[in-house]
Amino acid sequence: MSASDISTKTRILFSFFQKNHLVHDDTVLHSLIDSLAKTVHSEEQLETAGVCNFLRAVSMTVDEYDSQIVTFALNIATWIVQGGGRFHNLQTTVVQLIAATWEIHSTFENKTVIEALFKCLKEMTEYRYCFQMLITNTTDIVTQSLETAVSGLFLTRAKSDFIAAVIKNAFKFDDLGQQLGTNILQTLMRGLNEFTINSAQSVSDKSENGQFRFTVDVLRKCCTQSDRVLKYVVSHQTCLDDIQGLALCLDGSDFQIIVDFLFVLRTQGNDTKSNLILRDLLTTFCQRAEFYKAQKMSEVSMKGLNDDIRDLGISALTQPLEFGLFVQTQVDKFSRNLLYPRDQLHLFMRTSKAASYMAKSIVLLTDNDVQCVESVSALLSTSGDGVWPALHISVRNKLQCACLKYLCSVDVKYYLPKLGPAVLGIMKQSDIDFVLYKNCTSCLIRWFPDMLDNSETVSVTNELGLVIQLHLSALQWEIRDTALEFVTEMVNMYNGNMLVLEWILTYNIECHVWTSVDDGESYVRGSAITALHSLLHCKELQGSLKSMRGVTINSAVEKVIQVLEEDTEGFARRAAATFLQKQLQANEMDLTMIHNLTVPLMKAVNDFDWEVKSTALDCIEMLLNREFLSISSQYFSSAIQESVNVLEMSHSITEQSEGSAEARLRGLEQLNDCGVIHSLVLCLNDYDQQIREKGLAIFKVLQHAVKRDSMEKYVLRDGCVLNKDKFVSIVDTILAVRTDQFETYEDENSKLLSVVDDIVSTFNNTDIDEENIIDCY
Amino acid sequence: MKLCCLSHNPSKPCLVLYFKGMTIMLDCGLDLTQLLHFLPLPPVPGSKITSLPDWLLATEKFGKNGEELATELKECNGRVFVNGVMELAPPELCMVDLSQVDVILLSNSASMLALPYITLYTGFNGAVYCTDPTLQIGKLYMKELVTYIERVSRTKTCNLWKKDDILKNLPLPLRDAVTPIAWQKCYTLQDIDACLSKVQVVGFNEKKSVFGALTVMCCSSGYSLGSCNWIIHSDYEKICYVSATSTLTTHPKPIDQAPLRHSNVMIFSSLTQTPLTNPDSMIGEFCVNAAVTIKNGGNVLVPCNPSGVTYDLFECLSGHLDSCGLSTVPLYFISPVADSTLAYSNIFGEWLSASKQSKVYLPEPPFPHAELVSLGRLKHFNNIHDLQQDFKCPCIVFTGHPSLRLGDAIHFIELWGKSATNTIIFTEPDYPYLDALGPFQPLQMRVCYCPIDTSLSFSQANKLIRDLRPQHLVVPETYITPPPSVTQRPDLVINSELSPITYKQGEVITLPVKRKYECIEIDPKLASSLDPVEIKPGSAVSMVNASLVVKDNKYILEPLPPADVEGKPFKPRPYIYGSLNTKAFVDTLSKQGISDIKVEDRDEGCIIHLPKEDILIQVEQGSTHIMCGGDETLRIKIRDSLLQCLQKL
Repeated sequence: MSASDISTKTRILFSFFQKNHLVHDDTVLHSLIDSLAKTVHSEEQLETAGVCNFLRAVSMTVDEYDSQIVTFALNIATWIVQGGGRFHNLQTTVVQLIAATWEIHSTFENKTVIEALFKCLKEMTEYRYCFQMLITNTTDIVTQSLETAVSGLFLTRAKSDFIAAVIKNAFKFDDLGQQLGTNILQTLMRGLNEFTINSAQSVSDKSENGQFRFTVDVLRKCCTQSDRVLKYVVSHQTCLDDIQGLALCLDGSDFQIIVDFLFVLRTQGNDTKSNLILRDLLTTFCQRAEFYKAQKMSEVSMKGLNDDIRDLGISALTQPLEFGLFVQTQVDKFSRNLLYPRDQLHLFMRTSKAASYMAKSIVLLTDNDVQCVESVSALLSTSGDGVWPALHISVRNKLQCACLKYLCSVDVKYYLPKLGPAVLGIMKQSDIDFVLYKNCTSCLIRWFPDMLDNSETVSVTNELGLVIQLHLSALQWEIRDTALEFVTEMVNMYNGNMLVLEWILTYNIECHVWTSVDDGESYVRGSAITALHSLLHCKELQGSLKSMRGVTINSAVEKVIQVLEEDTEGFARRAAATFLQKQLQANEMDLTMIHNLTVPLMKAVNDFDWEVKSTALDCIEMLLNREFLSISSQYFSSAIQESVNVLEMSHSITEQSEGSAEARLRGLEQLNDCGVIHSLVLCLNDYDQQIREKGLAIFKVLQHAVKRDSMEKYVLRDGCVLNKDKFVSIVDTILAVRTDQFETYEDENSKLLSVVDDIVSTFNNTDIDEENIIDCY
Repeated sequence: MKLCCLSHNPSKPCLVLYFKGMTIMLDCGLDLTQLLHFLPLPPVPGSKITSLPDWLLATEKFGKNGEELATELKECNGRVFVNGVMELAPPELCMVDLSQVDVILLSNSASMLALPYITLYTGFNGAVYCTDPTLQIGKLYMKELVTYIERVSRTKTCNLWKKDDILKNLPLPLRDAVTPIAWQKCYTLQDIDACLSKVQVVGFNEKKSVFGALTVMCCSSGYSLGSCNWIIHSDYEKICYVSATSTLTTHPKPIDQAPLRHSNVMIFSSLTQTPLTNPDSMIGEFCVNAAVTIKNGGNVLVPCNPSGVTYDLFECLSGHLDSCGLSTVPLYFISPVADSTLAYSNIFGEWLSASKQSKVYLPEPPFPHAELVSLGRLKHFNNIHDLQQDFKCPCIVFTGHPSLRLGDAIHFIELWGKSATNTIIFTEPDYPYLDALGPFQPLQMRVCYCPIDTSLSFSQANKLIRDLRPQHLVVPETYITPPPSVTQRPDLVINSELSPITYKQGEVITLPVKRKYECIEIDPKLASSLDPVEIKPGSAVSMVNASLVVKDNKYILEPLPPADVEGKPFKPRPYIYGSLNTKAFVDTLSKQGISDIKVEDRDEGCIIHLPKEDILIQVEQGSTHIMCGGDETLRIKIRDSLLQCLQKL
């Protein structure tokens, strides 16, 4: 398909749009713009494709076009603006389109068009020459937008993005529009002040609320994007006072908007006005016992740059945690000075809400290096049975998960005698949630060597062995699966740690893993195969498997091949293919076993599961390296270790001796006899693109190697035992495949053409029967 | 109505109900926990148990008697066991004249093992009713027990230790043996056949007349194959006997609650013996522990009964082994009645749960163990000697006896007890597992206790009682206080608004049911001669002169014999009935010339005052008093006025 053909078809398509033809599924239009963006790179191409004419036509008579076409035109205009200098001459057309659209749609009635307009305008503000055109021609858009309240999530966001971009770039291109920027900011801050006064007098209405949200959102966005704007805003004490005042009187999502803005202020260094606001707000919320607001402010404060405020934030978060543990019994013994009123904190901590509050606090602590281990440990131990007897199980799980995540992120060595039994207790619950279980195992994996080394936790590790045994045979497959993941992680992480390995051996966990390869649930079989691979890479565990169950690497591989060939579930086959891939990489199998692998891998290339196919192809690539491209196993292993790629290997191989070449030819013959070549040819026609690409890459290397080798030279040599005709046939087969015919398959032009064809065919059928339009995309 | 309790174990009930002149025995369970005092009977010679030392302290403690006593008692790990022939503890039969028992109603196969002690050599001449599966499986239970005892030759009867003065000085737990003097030798296979030949089988909801006085009917209790609850009807009373019952979904037909509703008396027994554990989670734990042991390369021993929950264990365990990739592990089922019990389970289709019944119609075997047997995964043998050629480890062995004093389980404990990789899993709730393991200590093998008792829990029983709404509730005394081990659990009691009447062994209680009415048939000839008068819509009355004939507990009114009619001619006399209409009475009195009449209404009637005559007439429901100070003429006048206002027959 030539470029002119594409242009012709695209022109036809845009002529349809010009005639106000509509598309039922507008995602096709987005797809069209995406394809255009990838294939059209110059103004001339746009002109020949009919895009420019389309834009001009729309800008001339916007009122005659359906909103879908206007929106589409604005989206194309946005893309043209993003193209920057490439489409410089089209900027005037874009501005005309914007002006014409605004003229018709300035009532804000059509939200889709206005949203597209704001997006286009936002892009325009980013480029100096566009910005200049914008402030010359369309300043009333900014003014009117500020004055008019809009509804709708996407439209509001597009509008605030646009205004924020205008402010930011007005400060950026200060010679052109700083005055505009400061004017807008002052208007916004005036509005904020009015809202603050009305809120204090409780006279603000709903529309004012929307405008307030818009104002704070714009301020947040432009302050985040521009330091200059931020400094300007912070220099206005009234604005900061307004923000502070609103934070004190607003609740819920309105308060959250203020908090989001305060997040921007936190980046200011020491001794700034903004830091004083943060401190005042946090202290006030604590004193007023507004626990949730104090928690939000703590989050802001902790992420700030000022150390004092960070410490204050941490105290505000951790004090309820520490105090909460005393609530049931010894509240009088909590002698520290509290930021909160003691009696109100006491009351709050006795409610069931306190648990989810604490969970949130602990989640906030997790990201920081805050030392609150004692409180969180105690909370984990008691949350199961003590503090809040009527705690709903989901809240309890949430709290325990938060505690475990925190404890997993900090050093808890000295708390293990208390934590170990607590975590084990959670794991032993018959109705345990699997997310919670996973958190338990993550903690135990991290703590395990210390637990084995600690005489006070010996009973816990002993019991854990029995618990893991039980869980590897549990009734719920999810528990069996998670227990296997635990074992895998443990072996991978502590492969050389004799204490851990002895623990595994004591409880025969390696034998349990081996039996799990035959599990009834595919996910468990998959996890067992993954775990088995880890076990076989540890000498001690490998030895134990051999002595206890007679399992050698070869028998394990045979078992895994059986899974790859016979298992009905893709998940298990994926794990089996990955196992074999890793074994091949590790180069620990003997030659016979490698030969036994070939046929199953060939079958796996045609598996129903994409991942199995992909991994099998990776394995075949390795086999090709080993059997055909490499000279000797010694060379092969060194090549693998140095991660030499296939192409490099094939280059170096041509320079090897003739005798080695004969060995390679034998390898090629074997691979051909196993069906490798045939399978690779099949892969080139696979319905999955990634498989085709991978197959193609391997095949190209193969062709390259065959060409360079001039095989016949070796085969014709005197005394060569190889069959000449057979080799000629193999080489012919390999060389006969035209790899280039597969390469163009996913060409971008084809994609564009396909989309264009789909839309045009829809238009052609529209007159016949609109109901029968098929969404071709 | 009286109830007499002969058993001390509510889970092995034996009750006698006296009602309407009938004597009805409800179940005859045999408590086998006393077997734990005996030394195990090893099935294979050369067992360690046979070489245990005599109880050396006997001579020291009891002097001369001690020497003989030392040979009766053996010591193992500080505990003393009786080295004599196994004896069983029948219910306290001396409380009842068994020849007077009219009928025995059996609820399930586990509650009938004492039957030979009752029906043989006692003069018993009544009927015994139970369902067909109860009979067949109960027979297998009995045969297994007898075979276990008979196949090992231990003939020495030990009685010296039972003497009061010796018994009270023996170490625990032997000292706590309950009336060992009443223990008897086990019955024989011939006894079983003789005893069961008297049993009549009934189907669910089939009514059987007990000498015309009562009707008995059984309905499914959902506990085991053919298990049932009994409903005893007279014409105006209904008594329900709720024995081992389950509301869980296992293999038997589910409980049928409808016939148990609105009874006058409901007698409960056989609630769960393991109130702290849930059968579902225990089955899960059983499966997981078995799988872990196999994965560790060990063997699993499951001491079990030959029927009941064992079928469910086969099903759940094989499924779990499949899901854990252990489908090649063999299951062995060893019992003298193994082949019969597996075969019977598959032919009792009509007694099974709906899901299992539907398989029968396919046709497929209702229980998966049939397929396990055909695949060779479940192999069954009569005893361990048959097993030798076909034994592969690791494996899971189901065998008896759960008391570990009889049967092949003893051999497997000795075989596998030394290795910690092997596991013994107790599932039967009847025996305290630590006591059962007493003679085998020290034991290395892992011990798991997963008692599975599908009988009603206390909360299920309380709910059932609320649904069934009996007038009076009768429960064992132990069910109204929490079990001794968990006194802080007030939920583990029967907590009914009815304040249950309790019973315990050796007690005869009077049940608060008073019979008010009896149904009498009227001979057709007599009936045709009657001329009923309708007294209100739907109700008519008539005078009857007839002779009441009582025969086979039935009452029949027949015409008087001609000789009686001629000999004592009948003089008819009027019968007055109805309630007094005060207004009509006052009117009548006025007509009689009594003018000054005051009527005072009261709750229970009214008072009519005739101040002039100084007469008070007190009219109440069912009676009228005339107080007239001796003026007989006036009294007659008032009486006649009154009679005019009432109806006559």
